[in-house]
Amino acid sequence: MTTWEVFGRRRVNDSLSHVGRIHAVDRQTALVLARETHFRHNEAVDYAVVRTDQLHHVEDKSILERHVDIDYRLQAGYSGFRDKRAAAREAAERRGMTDLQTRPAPGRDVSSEST
Amino acid sequence: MPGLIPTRDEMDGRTAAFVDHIHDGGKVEARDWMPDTYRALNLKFIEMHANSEIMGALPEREWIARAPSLKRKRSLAAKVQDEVGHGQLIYRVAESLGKPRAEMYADLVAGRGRFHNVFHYPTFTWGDVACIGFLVDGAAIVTQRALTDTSYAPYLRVMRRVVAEESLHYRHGEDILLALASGTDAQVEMLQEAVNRWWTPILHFFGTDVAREDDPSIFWGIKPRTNEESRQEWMTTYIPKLWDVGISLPDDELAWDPETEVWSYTEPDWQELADLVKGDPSEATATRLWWKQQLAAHNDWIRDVVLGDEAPVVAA
Repeated sequence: MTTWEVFGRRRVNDSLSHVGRIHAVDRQTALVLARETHFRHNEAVDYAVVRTDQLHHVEDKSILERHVDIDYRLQAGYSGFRDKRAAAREAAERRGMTDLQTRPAPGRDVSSEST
Repeated sequence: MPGLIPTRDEMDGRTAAFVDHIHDGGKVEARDWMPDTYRALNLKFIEMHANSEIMGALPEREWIARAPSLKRKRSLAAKVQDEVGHGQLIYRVAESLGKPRAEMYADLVAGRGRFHNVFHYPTFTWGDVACIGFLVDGAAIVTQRALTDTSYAPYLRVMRRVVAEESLHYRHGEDILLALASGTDAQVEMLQEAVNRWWTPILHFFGTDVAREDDPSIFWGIKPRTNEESRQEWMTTYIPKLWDVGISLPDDELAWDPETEVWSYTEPDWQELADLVKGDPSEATATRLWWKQQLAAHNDWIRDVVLGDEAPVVAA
């Protein structure tokens, strides 16, 4: 019998994630069985099935390995901001640019959420 | 003929139920039924976003070879690759609304595609790279983060991923900005000069102050916030960071009012924005499009080899 890979989306803003595999004779049955097997308790807002033989895995996993330093593609590649900000502020003071203008209270800045 | 914001009387039952669904925070999948206006507005918005990612990569690409160190070169090259990747992710979302990607790309390359104002400008110095990386990307982060709550679910999911990658670009931009700000007098001057030039384009970037009830994009749940709300949020986040490192902004009216919690600033010339994005292409845009046309023609054979005779099928 054909096996089917089952993918579910827990909330609308999630990607489809693999949740398991089932046996079924055709697509309609697979969709029903997936529902009964994997999504009985509000686990998903959406799901899909794909025939296992239609899923093609990467054959050579070494292409995912890091052969060179790729720090510049990662958050870790950018560090030491506290010191760098302090240095820039000191430089500004040396140039006499220390006029502290009225500004929003700390905490309104939203950039920290993204870093 | 109903306008872009139809009244209750102008809506049929199905459209009214759809509007209630999105006003209630509901989401829409590509295979769901949707009103034509919703489809058309979303496609226009998302196609412009995708185009902007592609055109936004070009001003920075111009600086890869001229970046001051190997470290900067590779981080800039990685960022340009990310932006083009975002363009491809977003074209896929636009495609789900019915316009093939090849057609959108052909329109862009031929100069018929619309994209954000900030990518029509030339770049003169490394100070521009700091401004694009920190201030322009910061503006993009503000608007894109708002889009992680858009009503079109495929767009929302892609935005979540894009925003996560943008936070890396933010660090890249801040790193360049801080290096210039703590540098020699000439470097600081270069930064200040670039900030002065980018100030108006960034104010323009968010668009005119359209009231919530008059904005079709808000009515249809494409974006949750008004242009002015996004502009104010950007100011709150970025202006103090520039002040902190001794960089000023070229507007004497610019001030934060702690009572009303609103930034005041000199209204930019909106005609200038309309001329830029709707008029003849700027010299920088004409040059970049010329390059894209050369590359598209030169790389045609690769497309043929990879795709063969089969055009990609648009997913339903």
